[in-house]
Amino acid sequence: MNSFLNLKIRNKRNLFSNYSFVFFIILSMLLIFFDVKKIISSTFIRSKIINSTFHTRDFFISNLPNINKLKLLFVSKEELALENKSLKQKIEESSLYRLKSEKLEIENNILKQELSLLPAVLEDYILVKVTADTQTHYNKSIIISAGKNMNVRKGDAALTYKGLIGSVIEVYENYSRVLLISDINSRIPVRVGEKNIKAIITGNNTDKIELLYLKDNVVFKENDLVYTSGDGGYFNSGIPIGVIKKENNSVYIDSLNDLSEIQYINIYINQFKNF
Amino acid sequence: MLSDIKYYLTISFPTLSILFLIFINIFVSNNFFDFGQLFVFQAIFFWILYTPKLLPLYIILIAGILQDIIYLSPIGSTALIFLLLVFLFDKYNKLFLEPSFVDLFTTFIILFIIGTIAFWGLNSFINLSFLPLRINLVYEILLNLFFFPVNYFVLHIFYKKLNLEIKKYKRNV
Repeated sequence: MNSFLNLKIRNKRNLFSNYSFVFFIILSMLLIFFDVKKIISSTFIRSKIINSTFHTRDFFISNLPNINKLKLLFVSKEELALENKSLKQKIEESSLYRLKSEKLEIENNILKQELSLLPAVLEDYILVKVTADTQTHYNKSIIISAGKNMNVRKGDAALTYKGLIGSVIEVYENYSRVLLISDINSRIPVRVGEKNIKAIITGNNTDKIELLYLKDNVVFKENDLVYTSGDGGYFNSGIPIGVIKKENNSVYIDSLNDLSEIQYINIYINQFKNF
Repeated sequence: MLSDIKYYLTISFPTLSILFLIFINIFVSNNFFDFGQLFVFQAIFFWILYTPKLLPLYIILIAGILQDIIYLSPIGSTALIFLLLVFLFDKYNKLFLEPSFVDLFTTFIILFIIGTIAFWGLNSFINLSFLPLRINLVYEILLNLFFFPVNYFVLHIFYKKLNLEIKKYKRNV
Protein backbone atom coordinates (compact mmCIF):
# COMPACT_ATOMS: atom_id res chain seq x y z
CA MET A 1 0.00 0.00 0.00
CA ASN A 2 2.90 2.28 0.79
CA SER A 3 4.35 1.77 -2.66
CA PHE A 4 0.95 2.61 -4.12
CA LEU A 5 0.81 5.94 -2.31
CA ASN A 6 4.46 6.92 -2.59
CA LEU A 7 6.27 6.40 -5.80
CA LYS A 8 10.04 6.50 -5.90
CA ILE A 9 11.11 7.57 -9.31
CA ARG A 10 14.66 6.44 -9.86
CA ASN A 11 15.25 7.96 -13.21
CA LYS A 12 15.00 11.72 -13.07
CA ARG A 13 16.24 12.27 -16.59
CA ASN A 14 13.87 12.87 -19.46
CA LEU A 15 11.66 9.87 -20.17
CA PHE A 16 12.04 10.32 -23.90
CA SER A 17 14.47 12.30 -25.97
CA ASN A 18 13.34 15.67 -27.27
CA TYR A 19 14.08 14.51 -30.83
CA SER A 20 11.66 11.61 -30.59
CA PHE A 21 8.96 13.93 -29.21
CA VAL A 22 9.48 16.39 -32.04
CA PHE A 23 9.46 13.57 -34.60
CA PHE A 24 6.19 12.02 -33.38
CA ILE A 25 4.44 15.36 -32.91
CA ILE A 26 5.36 16.42 -36.46
CA LEU A 27 4.24 12.99 -37.72
CA SER A 28 0.84 13.42 -36.02
CA MET A 29 0.43 16.89 -37.48
CA LEU A 30 1.31 15.62 -40.95
CA LEU A 31 -1.25 12.82 -40.59
CA ILE A 32 -3.94 15.35 -39.60
CA PHE A 33 -3.04 17.54 -42.58
CA PHE A 34 -3.09 14.60 -45.03
CA ASP A 35 -6.41 13.34 -43.66
CA VAL A 36 -8.14 16.73 -43.62
CA LYS A 37 -6.93 17.59 -47.12
CA LYS A 38 -7.80 14.04 -48.24
CA ILE A 39 -4.28 13.45 -49.62
CA ILE A 40 -4.33 9.92 -48.21
CA SER A 41 -7.32 7.62 -48.66
CA SER A 42 -8.24 7.16 -45.02
CA THR A 43 -11.41 5.24 -45.96
CA PHE A 44 -9.33 2.23 -47.02
CA ILE A 45 -7.39 2.24 -43.74
CA ARG A 46 -10.57 2.78 -41.71
CA SER A 47 -12.28 -0.07 -43.58
CA LYS A 48 -9.53 -2.56 -42.80
CA ILE A 49 -9.13 -1.57 -39.16
CA ILE A 50 -12.85 -1.32 -38.37
CA ASN A 51 -13.52 -4.72 -39.97
CA SER A 52 -10.76 -6.39 -37.98
CA THR A 53 -11.74 -4.58 -34.75
CA PHE A 54 -15.38 -5.59 -34.99
CA HIS A 55 -14.54 -9.14 -36.10
CA THR A 56 -12.40 -9.48 -32.97
CA ARG A 57 -15.30 -8.22 -30.87
CA ASP A 58 -17.75 -10.61 -32.56
CA PHE A 59 -15.31 -13.48 -32.03
CA PHE A 60 -15.14 -12.80 -28.28
CA ILE A 61 -18.89 -12.26 -27.98
CA SER A 62 -19.71 -15.46 -29.85
CA ASN A 63 -17.40 -17.44 -27.56
CA LEU A 64 -18.82 -16.09 -24.34
CA PRO A 65 -21.25 -18.40 -22.49
CA ASN A 66 -24.81 -17.48 -23.41
CA ILE A 67 -26.69 -16.81 -20.18
CA ASN A 68 -30.06 -16.90 -21.95
CA LYS A 69 -29.35 -20.45 -23.14
CA LEU A 70 -28.45 -21.48 -19.60
CA LYS A 71 -31.68 -19.96 -18.35
CA LEU A 72 -33.63 -22.11 -20.81
CA LEU A 73 -32.44 -25.24 -19.02
CA PHE A 74 -34.45 -24.19 -16.00
CA VAL A 75 -37.75 -23.57 -17.81
CA SER A 76 -40.53 -25.94 -16.80
CA LYS A 77 -42.65 -28.00 -19.20
CA GLU A 78 -45.76 -25.96 -18.38
CA GLU A 79 -43.98 -22.75 -19.36
CA LEU A 80 -42.79 -24.32 -22.59
CA ALA A 81 -46.33 -25.47 -23.44
CA LEU A 82 -47.65 -21.97 -22.77
CA GLU A 83 -44.92 -20.40 -24.89
CA ASN A 84 -45.63 -22.86 -27.69
CA LYS A 85 -49.30 -21.97 -27.62
CA SER A 86 -48.64 -18.22 -27.74
CA LEU A 87 -46.10 -18.64 -30.57
CA LYS A 88 -48.61 -20.65 -32.62
CA GLN A 89 -51.17 -17.91 -32.06
CA LYS A 90 -48.65 -15.29 -33.22
CA ILE A 91 -47.87 -17.28 -36.39
CA GLU A 92 -51.56 -17.46 -37.21
CA GLU A 93 -51.96 -13.73 -36.63
CA SER A 94 -48.92 -12.84 -38.72
CA SER A 95 -50.07 -14.99 -41.66
CA LEU A 96 -53.44 -13.28 -41.42
CA TYR A 97 -51.76 -9.87 -41.54
CA ARG A 98 -49.61 -11.02 -44.46
CA LEU A 99 -52.69 -12.09 -46.38
CA LYS A 100 -54.39 -8.80 -45.60
CA SER A 101 -51.35 -6.77 -46.72
CA GLU A 102 -51.03 -8.79 -49.95
CA LYS A 103 -54.70 -8.17 -50.66
CA LEU A 104 -54.25 -4.45 -50.01
CA GLU A 105 -51.14 -4.31 -52.21
CA ILE A 106 -52.97 -5.92 -55.13
CA GLU A 107 -55.93 -3.60 -54.63
CA ASN A 108 -53.58 -0.61 -54.42
CA ASN A 109 -51.80 -1.56 -57.67
CA ILE A 110 -55.14 -1.98 -59.49
CA LEU A 111 -56.34 1.41 -58.27
CA LYS A 112 -53.07 3.07 -59.28
CA GLN A 113 -53.35 1.60 -62.77
CA GLU A 114 -56.91 2.92 -62.97
CA LEU A 115 -55.63 6.38 -62.01
CA SER A 116 -52.72 6.10 -64.52
CA LEU A 117 -50.20 7.09 -61.86
CA LEU A 118 -46.47 6.75 -62.36
CA PRO A 119 -45.00 3.57 -60.86
CA ALA A 120 -44.07 4.07 -57.22
CA VAL A 121 -40.46 4.66 -56.29
CA LEU A 122 -38.84 1.38 -55.40
CA GLU A 123 -38.21 1.45 -51.67
CA ASP A 124 -36.00 -1.43 -50.69
CA TYR A 125 -34.75 -1.17 -47.17
CA ILE A 126 -32.95 -3.28 -44.63
CA LEU A 127 -33.23 -3.26 -40.88
CA VAL A 128 -29.83 -3.06 -39.23
CA LYS A 129 -28.47 -2.93 -35.70
CA VAL A 130 -26.27 -0.14 -34.40
CA THR A 131 -23.03 -1.98 -33.66
CA ALA A 132 -21.19 0.89 -32.00
CA ASP A 133 -22.25 4.34 -30.97
CA THR A 134 -19.13 6.36 -31.78
CA GLN A 135 -20.60 9.76 -30.98
CA THR A 136 -18.28 12.18 -29.22
CA HIS A 137 -18.44 15.92 -28.61
CA TYR A 138 -16.73 16.52 -31.93
CA ASN A 139 -18.15 13.81 -34.21
CA LYS A 140 -21.64 12.42 -34.49
CA SER A 141 -21.51 9.08 -36.24
CA ILE A 142 -22.56 5.49 -35.58
CA ILE A 143 -21.41 2.16 -36.97
CA ILE A 144 -24.08 -0.24 -38.23
CA SER A 145 -24.03 -3.97 -38.90
CA ALA A 146 -24.39 -3.92 -42.69
CA GLY A 147 -21.94 -3.04 -45.42
CA LYS A 148 -21.03 -4.14 -48.91
CA ASN A 149 -22.35 -7.60 -48.00
CA MET A 150 -25.88 -6.12 -47.77
CA ASN A 151 -25.52 -3.86 -50.81
CA VAL A 152 -25.32 -0.68 -48.74
CA ARG A 153 -23.86 2.25 -50.67
CA LYS A 154 -22.41 5.62 -49.80
CA GLY A 155 -25.20 8.20 -49.65
CA ASP A 156 -28.02 5.83 -48.64
CA ALA A 157 -30.53 7.27 -46.18
CA ALA A 158 -30.66 6.01 -42.59
CA LEU A 159 -33.96 6.38 -40.79
CA THR A 160 -36.29 5.02 -38.17
CA TYR A 161 -40.07 4.83 -38.31
CA LYS A 162 -40.09 8.39 -36.90
CA GLY A 163 -37.85 9.95 -39.52
CA LEU A 164 -34.38 10.53 -40.95
CA ILE A 165 -31.34 10.21 -38.71
CA GLY A 166 -28.50 10.56 -41.22
CA SER A 167 -26.77 9.14 -44.25
CA VAL A 168 -24.19 6.46 -44.95
CA ILE A 169 -20.77 8.05 -45.47
CA GLU A 170 -18.41 5.08 -45.40
CA VAL A 171 -19.11 1.49 -46.42
CA TYR A 172 -16.90 -1.36 -45.22
CA GLU A 173 -17.17 -5.12 -45.87
CA ASN A 174 -19.66 -5.98 -43.11
CA TYR A 175 -20.20 -2.60 -41.52
CA SER A 176 -20.98 0.98 -42.51
CA ARG A 177 -20.72 4.35 -40.89
CA VAL A 178 -23.71 6.68 -40.69
CA LEU A 179 -23.13 10.40 -40.27
CA LEU A 180 -25.95 11.73 -38.09
CA ILE A 181 -27.90 14.87 -39.01
CA SER A 182 -26.55 16.54 -35.86
CA ASP A 183 -22.92 16.37 -37.08
CA ILE A 184 -21.27 19.63 -38.04
CA ASN A 185 -20.33 18.21 -41.46
CA SER A 186 -23.84 17.02 -42.33
CA ARG A 187 -25.69 18.92 -45.10
CA ILE A 188 -29.19 17.87 -46.24
CA PRO A 189 -31.52 19.72 -48.65
CA VAL A 190 -34.97 20.08 -47.11
CA ARG A 191 -38.35 21.72 -47.42
CA VAL A 192 -40.13 23.29 -44.48
CA GLY A 193 -43.81 23.49 -43.59
CA GLU A 194 -46.88 23.85 -45.74
CA LYS A 195 -45.26 26.59 -47.82
CA ASN A 196 -42.50 24.18 -48.91
CA ILE A 197 -39.70 26.63 -48.13
CA LYS A 198 -36.37 25.34 -49.42
CA ALA A 199 -33.34 25.19 -47.13
CA ILE A 200 -30.27 23.18 -46.22
CA ILE A 201 -29.93 21.78 -42.73
CA THR A 202 -26.68 21.27 -40.88
CA GLY A 203 -25.78 20.03 -37.42
CA ASN A 204 -23.58 21.79 -34.90
CA ASN A 205 -22.76 18.74 -32.75
CA THR A 206 -25.67 19.56 -30.40
CA ASP A 207 -29.32 18.47 -30.40
CA LYS A 208 -30.31 21.66 -32.21
CA ILE A 209 -30.11 21.38 -36.00
CA GLU A 210 -29.61 24.60 -37.92
CA LEU A 211 -31.12 25.92 -41.17
CA LEU A 212 -28.83 27.40 -43.80
CA TYR A 213 -29.23 29.34 -47.05
CA LEU A 214 -32.64 30.82 -46.33
CA LYS A 215 -34.17 33.69 -48.22
CA ASP A 216 -34.58 36.98 -46.36
CA ASN A 217 -37.74 37.58 -44.33
CA VAL A 218 -38.75 33.93 -44.25
CA VAL A 219 -41.07 33.25 -41.35
CA PHE A 220 -41.55 29.81 -39.87
CA LYS A 221 -44.31 28.61 -37.66
CA GLU A 222 -43.54 26.66 -34.49
CA ASN A 223 -43.82 22.89 -35.06
CA ASP A 224 -43.65 23.20 -38.86
CA LEU A 225 -42.52 19.83 -40.24
CA VAL A 226 -39.12 19.62 -41.94
CA TYR A 227 -38.66 16.87 -44.52
CA THR A 228 -36.20 15.91 -47.23
CA SER A 229 -36.68 17.69 -50.54
CA GLY A 230 -34.93 15.10 -52.68
CA ASP A 231 -33.03 17.92 -54.42
CA GLY A 232 -29.76 16.91 -56.00
CA GLY A 233 -30.71 13.25 -55.78
CA TYR A 234 -30.00 13.08 -52.05
CA PHE A 235 -32.60 10.80 -50.48
CA ASN A 236 -36.20 10.27 -51.51
CA SER A 237 -38.31 13.34 -51.02
CA GLY A 238 -40.73 13.56 -48.11
CA ILE A 239 -38.79 11.77 -45.38
CA PRO A 240 -39.61 13.62 -42.15
CA ILE A 241 -36.62 14.95 -40.19
CA GLY A 242 -37.87 17.18 -37.39
CA VAL A 243 -40.01 20.11 -36.38
CA ILE A 244 -39.27 23.82 -36.19
CA LYS A 245 -38.69 25.24 -32.72
CA LYS A 246 -38.14 28.86 -31.73
CA GLU A 247 -35.91 30.08 -28.94
CA ASN A 248 -34.80 33.67 -28.27
CA ASN A 249 -35.57 34.91 -31.79
CA SER A 250 -33.62 32.04 -33.34
CA VAL A 251 -35.02 29.06 -35.17
CA TYR A 252 -33.72 25.52 -34.95
CA ILE A 253 -34.93 22.02 -35.81
CA ASP A 254 -35.77 19.50 -33.14
CA SER A 255 -35.13 16.00 -34.53
CA LEU A 256 -38.02 13.53 -34.40
CA ASN A 257 -35.58 10.87 -33.19
CA ASP A 258 -33.55 10.85 -30.00
CA LEU A 259 -30.17 10.61 -31.70
CA SER A 260 -28.37 9.46 -28.55
CA GLU A 261 -30.58 6.39 -28.09
CA ILE A 262 -30.60 4.68 -31.48
CA GLN A 263 -30.52 0.89 -31.50
CA TYR A 264 -32.07 -0.27 -34.78
CA ILE A 265 -32.40 1.68 -38.01
CA ASN A 266 -33.55 1.18 -41.59
CA ILE A 267 -31.27 1.81 -44.53
CA TYR A 268 -32.90 2.63 -47.84
CA ILE A 269 -30.95 0.68 -50.42
CA ASN A 270 -30.05 2.18 -53.78
CA GLN A 271 -32.42 5.13 -53.48
CA PHE A 272 -29.54 7.47 -54.19
CA LYS A 273 -30.16 9.61 -57.28
CA ASN A 274 -33.64 8.16 -57.57
CA PHE A 275 -35.62 11.14 -58.83
CA MET B 1 9.54 -21.32 -25.80
CA LEU B 2 6.55 -21.06 -23.47
CA SER B 3 8.50 -18.91 -21.05
CA ASP B 4 9.46 -16.62 -23.93
CA ILE B 5 5.80 -16.18 -24.91
CA LYS B 6 4.92 -15.51 -21.29
CA TYR B 7 7.73 -12.99 -21.01
CA TYR B 8 6.71 -11.09 -24.15
CA LEU B 9 3.05 -11.12 -23.12
CA THR B 10 4.05 -9.70 -19.76
CA ILE B 11 6.21 -6.91 -21.12
CA SER B 12 3.50 -6.01 -23.64
CA PHE B 13 0.94 -5.78 -20.84
CA PRO B 14 0.96 -1.94 -20.80
CA THR B 15 0.12 -1.90 -24.54
CA LEU B 16 -2.51 -4.61 -24.13
CA SER B 17 -4.13 -2.74 -21.24
CA ILE B 18 -4.36 0.39 -23.40
CA LEU B 19 -5.98 -1.58 -26.23
CA PHE B 20 -8.34 -3.15 -23.72
CA LEU B 21 -9.42 0.26 -22.44
CA ILE B 22 -10.02 1.45 -26.03
CA PHE B 23 -12.29 -1.58 -26.59
CA ILE B 24 -14.06 -1.09 -23.26
CA ASN B 25 -14.65 2.56 -24.07
CA ILE B 26 -16.20 1.78 -27.45
CA PHE B 27 -18.19 -1.36 -26.83
CA VAL B 28 -19.16 -1.30 -23.18
CA SER B 29 -18.90 2.04 -21.41
CA ASN B 30 -20.39 4.13 -24.22
CA ASN B 31 -23.75 2.55 -23.43
CA PHE B 32 -23.58 3.69 -19.81
CA PHE B 33 -20.94 6.40 -19.37
CA ASP B 34 -19.48 8.81 -21.86
CA PHE B 35 -15.80 8.90 -20.95
CA GLY B 36 -14.75 10.52 -24.20
CA GLN B 37 -11.73 9.91 -26.36
CA LEU B 38 -9.15 10.86 -23.71
CA PHE B 39 -10.21 8.04 -21.37
CA VAL B 40 -7.21 5.96 -22.44
CA PHE B 41 -4.89 8.66 -21.13
CA GLN B 42 -5.53 7.24 -17.64
CA ALA B 43 -3.61 4.09 -18.59
CA ILE B 44 -0.96 5.99 -20.57
CA PHE B 45 -0.35 8.22 -17.53
CA PHE B 46 0.09 5.21 -15.26
CA TRP B 47 2.48 3.31 -17.53
CA ILE B 48 4.52 6.37 -18.44
CA LEU B 49 4.91 6.95 -14.72
CA TYR B 50 5.94 3.41 -13.76
CA THR B 51 7.39 1.73 -16.83
CA PRO B 52 8.06 4.33 -19.54
CA LYS B 53 10.40 1.94 -21.35
CA LEU B 54 7.54 -0.52 -21.90
CA LEU B 55 5.39 2.14 -23.52
CA PRO B 56 7.35 3.75 -26.35
CA LEU B 57 6.00 6.82 -28.12
CA TYR B 58 5.04 4.93 -31.26
CA ILE B 59 2.59 2.82 -29.21
CA ILE B 60 0.95 6.05 -27.99
CA LEU B 61 0.80 7.24 -31.60
CA ILE B 62 -0.82 3.97 -32.75
CA ALA B 63 -3.33 4.02 -29.85
CA GLY B 64 -4.32 7.56 -30.82
CA ILE B 65 -4.65 6.68 -34.51
CA LEU B 66 -6.77 3.64 -33.65
CA GLN B 67 -9.15 5.82 -31.66
CA ASP B 68 -9.30 8.38 -34.49
CA ILE B 69 -10.19 5.65 -36.97
CA ILE B 70 -13.00 4.33 -34.82
CA TYR B 71 -14.43 7.71 -33.79
CA LEU B 72 -14.03 9.32 -37.25
CA SER B 73 -11.77 12.07 -35.93
CA PRO B 74 -9.06 13.39 -38.24
CA ILE B 75 -6.31 10.75 -38.15
CA GLY B 76 -3.54 11.86 -35.82
CA SER B 77 -5.57 14.32 -33.71
CA THR B 78 -5.96 12.16 -30.59
CA ALA B 79 -2.36 10.98 -30.94
CA LEU B 80 -1.19 14.59 -31.05
CA ILE B 81 -3.03 15.39 -27.80
CA PHE B 82 -1.67 12.26 -26.10
CA LEU B 83 1.89 13.13 -27.17
CA LEU B 84 1.45 16.70 -25.98
CA LEU B 85 0.26 15.49 -22.56
CA VAL B 86 3.12 12.98 -22.28
CA PHE B 87 5.55 15.78 -23.20
CA LEU B 88 4.10 17.99 -20.43
CA PHE B 89 4.24 15.09 -17.98
CA ASP B 90 7.86 14.47 -18.95
CA LYS B 91 8.68 18.03 -17.93
CA TYR B 92 6.70 17.74 -14.68
CA ASN B 93 8.33 14.42 -13.83
CA LYS B 94 11.60 16.13 -12.97
CA LEU B 95 10.06 18.47 -10.40
CA PHE B 96 9.22 15.91 -7.70
CA LEU B 97 11.54 13.41 -6.07
CA GLU B 98 8.94 11.18 -4.49
CA PRO B 99 5.46 12.25 -5.52
CA SER B 100 2.57 11.02 -3.39
CA PHE B 101 -0.68 9.73 -4.87
CA VAL B 102 -2.28 13.12 -4.17
CA ASP B 103 0.50 14.83 -6.19
CA LEU B 104 -0.05 12.43 -9.06
CA PHE B 105 -3.82 12.84 -8.94
CA THR B 106 -3.43 16.62 -9.01
CA THR B 107 -1.09 16.30 -11.97
CA PHE B 108 -3.56 14.06 -13.75
CA ILE B 109 -6.40 16.55 -13.15
CA ILE B 110 -4.33 19.41 -14.60
CA LEU B 111 -3.14 17.36 -17.58
CA PHE B 112 -6.61 16.00 -18.32
CA ILE B 113 -8.17 19.47 -18.30
CA ILE B 114 -5.36 20.78 -20.54
CA GLY B 115 -5.91 17.80 -22.85
CA THR B 116 -9.67 18.36 -23.05
CA ILE B 117 -9.26 22.06 -23.85
CA ALA B 118 -6.49 21.32 -26.38
CA PHE B 119 -8.67 18.68 -28.04
CA TRP B 120 -11.57 21.10 -28.29
CA GLY B 121 -9.23 23.75 -29.72
CA LEU B 122 -7.75 21.33 -32.24
CA ASN B 123 -11.18 20.16 -33.43
CA SER B 124 -12.41 23.76 -33.67
CA PHE B 125 -9.31 24.64 -35.70
CA ILE B 126 -9.83 21.67 -38.04
CA ASN B 127 -13.54 22.57 -38.54
CA LEU B 128 -12.65 26.28 -38.88
CA SER B 129 -15.34 27.28 -36.36
CA PHE B 130 -15.67 27.34 -32.59
CA LEU B 131 -17.38 24.12 -31.61
CA PRO B 132 -19.99 24.49 -28.85
CA LEU B 133 -18.77 23.95 -25.30
CA ARG B 134 -21.46 21.99 -23.53
CA ILE B 135 -22.01 20.97 -19.93
CA ASN B 136 -21.47 17.33 -21.00
CA LEU B 137 -17.79 18.14 -21.43
CA VAL B 138 -17.59 18.97 -17.70
CA TYR B 139 -19.39 15.71 -16.84
CA GLU B 140 -16.90 13.86 -19.01
CA ILE B 141 -13.96 15.41 -17.15
CA LEU B 142 -15.52 14.66 -13.75
CA LEU B 143 -16.28 11.08 -14.75
CA ASN B 144 -12.67 10.52 -15.81
CA LEU B 145 -11.36 12.09 -12.62
CA PHE B 146 -13.68 9.92 -10.55
CA PHE B 147 -12.53 6.73 -12.28
CA PHE B 148 -8.82 7.59 -12.25
CA PRO B 149 -8.13 6.24 -8.73
CA VAL B 150 -10.01 3.02 -9.60
CA ASN B 151 -8.02 2.56 -12.79
CA TYR B 152 -4.78 3.46 -11.04
CA PHE B 153 -5.45 0.95 -8.28
CA VAL B 154 -6.29 -1.89 -10.70
CA LEU B 155 -3.27 -1.21 -12.91
CA HIS B 156 -1.06 -1.00 -9.83
CA ILE B 157 -2.18 -4.49 -8.79
CA PHE B 158 -1.18 -5.85 -12.23
CA TYR B 159 2.08 -3.93 -12.08
CA LYS B 160 2.98 -5.60 -8.81
CA LYS B 161 1.67 -9.07 -9.71
CA LEU B 162 3.50 -9.17 -13.03
CA ASN B 163 6.72 -7.74 -11.58
CA LEU B 164 6.93 -5.35 -14.49
CA GLU B 165 9.59 -3.22 -12.85
CA ILE B 166 11.92 -6.20 -12.55
CA LYS B 167 11.16 -7.30 -16.11
CA LYS B 168 11.91 -3.84 -17.37
CA TYR B 169 15.43 -4.04 -15.96
CA LYS B 170 15.86 -7.64 -17.06
CA ARG B 171 15.11 -6.62 -20.62
CA ASN B 172 17.65 -3.83 -20.44
CA VAL B 173 20.46 -6.15 -19.39
